Formats: sequence, C-alpha cells, structure tokens
Amino acid sequence: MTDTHRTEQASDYISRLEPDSRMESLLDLIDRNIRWLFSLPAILVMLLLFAYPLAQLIWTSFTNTTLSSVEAPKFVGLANYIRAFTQDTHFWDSFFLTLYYAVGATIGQLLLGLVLALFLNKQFKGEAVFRMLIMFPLIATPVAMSLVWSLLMNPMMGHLNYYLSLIGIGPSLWAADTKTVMPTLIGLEIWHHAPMAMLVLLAGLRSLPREPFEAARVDGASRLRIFFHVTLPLLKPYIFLLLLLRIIHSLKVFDKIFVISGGGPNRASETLNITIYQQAFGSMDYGYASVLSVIMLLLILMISFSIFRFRERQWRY
Amino acid sequence: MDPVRFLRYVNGLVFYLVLVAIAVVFLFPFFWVVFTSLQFPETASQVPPELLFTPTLDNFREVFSEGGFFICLWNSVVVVILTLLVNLLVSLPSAYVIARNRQRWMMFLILFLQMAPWITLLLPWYVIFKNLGLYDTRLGLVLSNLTFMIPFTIWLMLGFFEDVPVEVEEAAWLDGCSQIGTFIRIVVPLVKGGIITICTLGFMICWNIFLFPLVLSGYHTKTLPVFVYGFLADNQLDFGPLSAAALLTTLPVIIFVLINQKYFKGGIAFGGSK
Amino acid sequence: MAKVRIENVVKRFDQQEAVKQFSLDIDDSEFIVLVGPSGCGKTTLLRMVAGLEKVSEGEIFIDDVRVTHAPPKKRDIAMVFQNYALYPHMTVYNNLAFSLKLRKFSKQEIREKVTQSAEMLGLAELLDRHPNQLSGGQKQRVALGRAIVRDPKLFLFDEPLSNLDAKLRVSMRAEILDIHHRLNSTAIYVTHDQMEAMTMGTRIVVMKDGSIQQHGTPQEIYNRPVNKFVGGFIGSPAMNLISCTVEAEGDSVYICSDLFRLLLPASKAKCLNAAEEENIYVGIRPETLYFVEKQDPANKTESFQVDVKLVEPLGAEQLIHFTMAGTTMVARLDPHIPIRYRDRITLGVKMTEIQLFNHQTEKNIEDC
Repeated sequence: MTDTHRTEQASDYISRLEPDSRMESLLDLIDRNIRWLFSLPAILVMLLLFAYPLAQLIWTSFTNTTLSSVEAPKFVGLANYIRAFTQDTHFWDSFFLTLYYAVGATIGQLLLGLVLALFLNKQFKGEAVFRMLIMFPLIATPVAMSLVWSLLMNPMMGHLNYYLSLIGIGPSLWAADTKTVMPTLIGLEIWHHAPMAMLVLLAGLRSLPREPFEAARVDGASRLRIFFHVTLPLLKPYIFLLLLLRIIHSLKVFDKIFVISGGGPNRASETLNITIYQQAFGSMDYGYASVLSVIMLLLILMISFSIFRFRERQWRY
Repeated sequence: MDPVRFLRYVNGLVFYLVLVAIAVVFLFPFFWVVFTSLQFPETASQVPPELLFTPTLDNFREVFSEGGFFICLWNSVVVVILTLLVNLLVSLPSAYVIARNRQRWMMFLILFLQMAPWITLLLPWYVIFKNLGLYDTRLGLVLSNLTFMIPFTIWLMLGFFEDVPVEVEEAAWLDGCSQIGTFIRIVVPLVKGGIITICTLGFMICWNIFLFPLVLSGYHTKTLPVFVYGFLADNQLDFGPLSAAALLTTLPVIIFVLINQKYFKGGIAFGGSK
Repeated sequence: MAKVRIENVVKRFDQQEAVKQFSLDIDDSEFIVLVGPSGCGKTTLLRMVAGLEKVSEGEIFIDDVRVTHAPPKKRDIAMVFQNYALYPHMTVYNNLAFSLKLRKFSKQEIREKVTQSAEMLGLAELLDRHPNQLSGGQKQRVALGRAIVRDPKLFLFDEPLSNLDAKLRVSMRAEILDIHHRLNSTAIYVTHDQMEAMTMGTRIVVMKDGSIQQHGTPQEIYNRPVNKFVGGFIGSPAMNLISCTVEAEGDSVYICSDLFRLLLPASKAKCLNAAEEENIYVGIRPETLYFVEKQDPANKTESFQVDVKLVEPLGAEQLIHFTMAGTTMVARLDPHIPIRYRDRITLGVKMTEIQLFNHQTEKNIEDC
C-alpha cells in the first residue's frame, strides 16, 4: 500500500468522525445528553403535578382559604392545625376510624389470603381457571361493585339477607346501622383484596426452597410446627411487603365508603378521606381540608417508615 | 371399595366442594349482577327471585337511553388510551436511564411517590386545574392519572430493563447505532413483556378510577365510574337498570384483563414480591 | 486493516488505576493478543480502544486519526464479546444485517454481504433462526459473522472462546485465524489462557496489574521472559521457579538448593557476578530437565536426585512431579522411560536454558 493510498484512507476516516449531516449532529447531541433528555419528561410531569401542588397544599394549610371566599386568604399559621387537634372532635373520630379500617382490613386480608394460599398450594385440575376467576373482585370497577353491594345489602329489599337466611344466618342491617357499618365495610375490603394477597403469598410459597422443609420433616417436626417455624419465617419478606402495600392502600380507600355509606350513618364510617372530601367540596372549607390532607400525608409517611424500619431490623433470620 | 381409595375420593370431593364454596363467595355478586340485569325492571327487585325467567334487555336499553352513557363510555376509553400512551412515552425512557444508573435515593423517591394519598393532591389540583382551564377536560384527567402511573411504571419496568444485558447495547453501538437508536430498536423490543404488563395493569387502574374524575371532570368529560354513581343517585332502587349500568361499566375492564391474563398475573405477583 | 497507536493510556476507577501508562504500536494485519491473569486490565484496555470505556489519560490513534474520545459507533471497529451479545429478538440474518442497515446499504447489497459472510462461517442454513435456537458454537460464529460483515478497520475479541468446551475452542481458534488471514485484518485479542495466546498471536502482550510486563513474539517471550511473572505465566506446564543461594568458588559460580549444587555456565555467570547477589530465583522449564541413567560422578554439577511424587503419562510424553525446597516441580521426560511413584531418579539440567531472576526486582538478570 502506497503512502498516498494511506492518506486517502485517513482522510476518509477523519471525515467519518465528523458528523456528515445535521441529522447526525442532532443525534450526537441527543446521545451525549441522553440521561437528562430521557428523564426530563417524567421529572417535569412529577414536578408540575406532584411537587408544585403539594407545596401549594402545605401553604394553603397555613391560610384560611375557602373555595367560595371573595377576599384574599390570610395567613393564619398553625391555627388550623390547632383547631384540628383540639377543637374538632370529629377529626379524632375520623382519624381512629381510618386506622380501624386500615388495620382491620389489612389483617383480615393477610389472614384470609394466607389460609387460601395454603389451601390452594397444590396442583389440581382447573387451577389456572380458578385462580383467574378469583381475581374478579380485584379487577372489577370498585364503584360498580360498591353499587352492587349496596343493592344487595339494602336492609329492606336487598337479596343478601334473603340468601343468607337460606343457610341459617340471621338478617343484618349491614351498612345502615352505625354499629355494623364499619365491620361491613371492612369485610367488603377483605373480600375485595384477599385474592391478591392470596396470589402473592401463593407465589411466595411456590418459590420457597425445599431444603428447610425436608430437613424439618426428617427431624420429625409436626405439620403445625413446620408451619410456624419454617413456613412463616421464610414467608416474612412477602408478608411484610404485603403488609406495607395493603395498609397504605387501605388508608386511602375512598370509592367503596363513599358509594355505600357516604360516611354515615351519622358519620359512623367517616374516614379521613371522606372527611376531607366533605370539608373541601361540601362545606367549602378549603383551608381546613388542606390541613387534614397534610395530616393524612404525614400519617401515611409515618406508618410506612415504621414498617420499613421494622422490616429492616427483622430482615436477618 | 378399597378403604384407602374411598378416603382419597372423599378427600378430593371435599376439596372441590370447598373450592366451589370459595368461588361462590368471591363470584356471587357477579352472578347476581348478570342475573338481575336480565330481569324485567319491575320484577328485578323481587325476593325471592324467580330462577326460571325470560331474559330481557330492557334494563340495558334504559341505561343507554339515559343521557350520557355513550359519552361517558367514550370519555373512559379516550382517557385510558391517552394515559397509557403518554405514560409509555414518558416513563419508559426514564425507567431505562434509572435502571442503568441505579441509586438508593431514587428507589425511595419512587416508592414515596406511589404512597401519597390521592385526596391530598386532589385539593390543590382542583384549584390549579380550574385556573389553568384544565377543569372538565380529558387532558386534565390524563394528567391526574399520570401522577401515579409514572412512578408505578418506572418501578415495574426497572427489573425488565435490568434484564437486558449491557453487552447487547454495546454491540449495537459498535455496529453504528446511536444511543437513542439502540434504545428504540434494541432495548424496547426486549422489554415487550413488561410493556404489556404495565398496559394491562394500567388499563385496569385507570378505567376504574373514581375520585379524580368525580372532582375534576364536569358535564362533558365524565367517565363511566362517575356516570354509574350518578345513575345510583337518580335511580335509587331500580335494581334492574342499576345492575345493567354496573355490569356495563365493569365489563370492558374484566374482558381486557382476561385477554391479557398472563401479564396481569405476572404483574400482580411482581407487585407483591418485588 | 489499520494501524493502531496507543499512547500512555491510563484508566482510573475512583482512585484506583486499572491501566497504568499503557503504550503500544500495532501494525497493519497484526494479530495482537493481550494476555494476563484476571484483573490485569486487559479487558479494560480493549474496551477503551472500542470506546466503551472512557480514557482517563493518554491517546488512542487509529490510522493516525485521534479517536480517544470518539463514540464507538464512529470508530469503525467490530467486537466479538465473550457472551456473544447477539440481538435476541432478531433472526441470524437480521443480526448480521443490522450494521449494514444502519449504514443505509441497499437490500441487494445487504443480501450479498450477509450470504457471503454466512457461507464463510457455515451459517447459511441458520439464517432464519433466532439466537435462542442456536448452540454455543453457532452463536459464537454468528457473533463473528456480525463483525466480518462490516469489513471494519479493526477487530476486537474479548475472551470469545471462554464459554465453549475444549474441543470447540480449538476448532474455533483455527477458524478465527483463518478468517484473519483471509481478510488481512488487524486484530486485538484478549484472553486469560496463555496457551491460546501462544497459538494465536503474531505478537503477545503480557499484562499484570494494569501494566505491560513484556511484549514480543510467542517464541521470544517463551525463551526470554523478562521477569519472573512472565516466565511463570507463559508455558504449560508452568516453568518451575525456586529460590536458590549463590556460591562463588574462585572463578566458578554455583546455584544451590536443598537437592542440588549446579555450576553456572560462563555466559550466565558473568551477569550474576555483576549483581553480587546472595539469593536468586531460578526458572527451569519442565523440558529443560532430562533423565540421567546413571549419575556420573564427574557431572555432579549438572544433575541431581529426586523422589518421584507423581507420574502423569500423557502418551507423547510423561510429566514427573517431585518436591524441592518445599515446592512441587515438574519435569517433562521421554514417555518410554519406566518410572514409578516413589522411584528415586536422577535428573539433568540443560544449564544454558535456565532463566535467572533477581531476587528483589524479579527481573531477568541477563538483561544486563
């Protein structure tokens, strides 16, 4: 190869390194900044729809805004917060109802889900079909199903009491009575989500290693002991994650309660969500509703944080 | 009969009986809805119900004629599809970048963003949307949906992106492909499973969502769940039309998820077991 | 084909230097092998040449053009990965055609080039399959085909044969070299297998801890290792390395261990005197030892007795293991000699072929 030939090659090569069109230089620019360009849309959306409104909310909670007010809102500092914590008894009722609902529903889901998962942890005909069918409560539109349930549970004309009487269970007022409304709603929440808990725990059970079980059986442990000392500890990560996700979810439930009881009768089922809604769009006391929202956010943060920390400490087994 | 085989037979029988009982508990309302919606409006609320009857579509006719059903149906469809499309456009690139540069604080942030109670954001949104003219628009509903779809999508897709070996991307770069070209032509096709999973779960969540449209949509952009709620308020005890409305609302999402069963089940199990 | 010039390249990860001041000139059509133990920096260097890793310091030139910071897609380099890195969702045909499609070749041209390369590698029947339907060897050939189809300036190989079984490895080595000669290409090949390095490279570069220990033809490196590491690394079975004491008696110099007291020939002794060392590392390759029938009393300075610890009959030769100064040594002997475990035999040493390494610097003392 002669020298001139080599020079030609080199110059071809050099020109190859330079962008040979505007499209290329645009592509180069994108490539060099790809990290930013790719994450920018998501960051923008979250800033505009999450960070900014949240900041506004916190600001509003320190003012006395109402949705129908004409005059400019005044800064009132912690007055709203003080009112919530000390003067408003409904707030505390609401607060505890929310916790009651969340804890009851979560524990119920976990227990029922665990029982179902253990029961179904075997091969049987129609397994796939069954597991799909059992998902229906989870998939169906909550508002629609709540409508159906409220029809079924109608104390005078509802069919639920009729069908239950056929198998010997006495009638109940379900969501119409202040004493039974919360257990009813919690029961519905369990009905709604136990299948998901079951699916997760079943996947967990299926993925457990066989050795600890075989070792336990060789050691002569009874079924019950195996369950408590091998199965449960091995399932801990799944249980904890379910616990976290379900409690957060249960704290936020709105559709069911709104449609079925609307927070009644007599505010007996008015969880924080409903209270906030009523305050903001019923009483139009926007500032106070903001306060309650912020408190609710803090509540959720605290609960998830403590579950996280608890899980970290329990992690080593 | 041999006693051992007999016991095993009984065991199996009991198992299937319990199975049926469980199915009844979880599926009873669905059967009831279908059953009731096909009854004549006058006799629908009868107790005890007649098991043998001639089905009628009167209830459905009434739902259709009640102003707004088709508009709300259309709104639901448009909002869900738009949400899913925009979600993919925005979240996939972010998930890709995060997957290749994972850092602890990002994980916390993504988890935190999913936990925020929806009502907390709804209040400021109501005011902001009204001021920006986004009230009663489908765009507004899409934006509200994106707020939880984006962190959820990123969280779910991270694993899928990490499963794509970096070498395959490097091979593409050496072959002369730009980074963005590699993303579109190589990486995205390889995470197809994740994309379908997200679309299935996303369809379900966005179709069913009630709180946001309740407050943020007005006369023109009501979605189906809001329509159904209004229907309940207007037709308090008309069991027939009410069941029909409930059935029509929930049927599309059930069918869609049934079609994509595999991805739905995978997604749920993933969400539970991380 | 292309010339490659690597000048003082350094790669730092946080504060650690993975590659230290690496400089190398590669000519047209050379097949350079970078060899060394895991973590020696060879793959890092290869990736820097490819553009997959940023260069901390130094420059890289391809055909006198500075490519140090150019993105991979512009360097006109093809790379064959250890894990093949095929595109899983494309057929073999599309895997091969991908780079050509990016360069906007016509469908006709693509078809020609792909079928040509496929035939060269025996992939013609597999063009419609997907990677998950191929065996390891087939996948590797597709990876190779992907590189060939582009007719690049430079081929890079990152331990491509490590995932294949032994027999396949040997046949693939031959195929790679065959293609290299047919295409007259320049190639940089990375491996940790010193035998692979010896059989494949026109020039070998031995690396350790980020720097070049020695580079040269396989024979040069084998016969004249520049330090103890290279001596012990190249060659199979490995060179025997022992620490000996040096004794001078008048004009004669002896090296001594627990089993022998050997006389150094003058050519080696003259460098040693200059060093004035007490201890020295002695490198004796297994084939430098030979079997002695009867210990000739006059020749005590060139042979010694050992107890056989292990006999490995390999057909064309036999390997005898024995212990000296606490280490196991290996001798390569004629297979027809009847030797058994626990025999006491006499071994001779071809003294002109041993290597001597300075005890402190570990450098070959003959470079004085």
